[in-house]
Amino acid sequence: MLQNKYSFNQSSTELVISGLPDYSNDDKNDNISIVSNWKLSVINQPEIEGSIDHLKSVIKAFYKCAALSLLDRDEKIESELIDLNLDDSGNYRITLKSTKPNIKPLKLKIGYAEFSDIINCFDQLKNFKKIKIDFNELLPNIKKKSIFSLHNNRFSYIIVPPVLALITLSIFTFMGIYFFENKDSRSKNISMISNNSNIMIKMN
Amino acid sequence: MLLLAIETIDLNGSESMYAISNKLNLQHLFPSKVSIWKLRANNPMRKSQNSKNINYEQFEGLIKITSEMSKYLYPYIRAIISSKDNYTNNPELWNDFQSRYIELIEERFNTESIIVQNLMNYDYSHEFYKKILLTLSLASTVEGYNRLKFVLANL
Repeated sequence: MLQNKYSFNQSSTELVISGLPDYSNDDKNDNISIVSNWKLSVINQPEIEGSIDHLKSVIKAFYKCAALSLLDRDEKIESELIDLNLDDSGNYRITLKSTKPNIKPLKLKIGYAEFSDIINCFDQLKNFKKIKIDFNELLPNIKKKSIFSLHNNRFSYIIVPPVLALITLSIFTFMGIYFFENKDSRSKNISMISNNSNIMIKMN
Repeated sequence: MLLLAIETIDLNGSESMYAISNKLNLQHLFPSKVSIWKLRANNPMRKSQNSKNINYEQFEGLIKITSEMSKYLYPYIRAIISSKDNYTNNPELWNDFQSRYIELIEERFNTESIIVQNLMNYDYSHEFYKKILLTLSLASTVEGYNRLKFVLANL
């Protein structure tokens, strides 16, 4: 049985997928449902290849990293097979871990240009009908800035100012009442003293 | 900001956007160049800001135009990003882009606003310019429209 082979290119990057059709799924001769081999080549970088599990984890990590970069969120992407993070100098640092023992992880450093080329190749693969890979499980599951937290914020925006105003008003009211009560009792004391002094004078 | 970056790269950007909108059969949303300009004026940082709300269909239309323009300009976008990635060896393209982008911001935006002043400050905003170009490059793929829509809806 002949293997099918398809390649996807974008500027500095080439992704090659080889595999076989799955006739039990009514595949045509030129389809690939069973990926036997894949290879990702980026200019000036070592070639990356591996099993379908590696490919899936690489695609998943790149898609998640793209979404996080665009959303300007700083999260580390780490899995059993790949770590992918943006460093301080604005480059993506990739660590590919082999499943075989005694093989050191492969470390790569790529810029934004190569990163977008790789994403472009994965997007081409995603939209290529002849290769059947379930991308639903590979798409980033990034929690939206939750409506709940937005409501919380809105709630705090709505509730906090009147509560603060009420507290301030209460403090001033109590201060006012205290002040006037003191003033009244002081004037009463003064009148008592003056009455007493009159009595004293009369007694004299 | 994305459309302004497109205009920075394509000197005839407003004409191209209108041509692309016609190609995408969006005449009902953007019957003239002025209609696109009016929608772009919804940006509160602009000098002549339009306070009229943008509807969902118009929002999608602008995303389609941005994504399609990015496809058309991808080689240039990539070259500018690459110039920034290899700045020590090849700074010219990045410098040209950044100076024209700042010029356009100064020309179109309200420069009294602190946000706009920060945007015009290269030291403060060069990473932001790079992110804008990365967004355009990731919007240029076959999945670009969906990606851009997802990002803008989650900002």
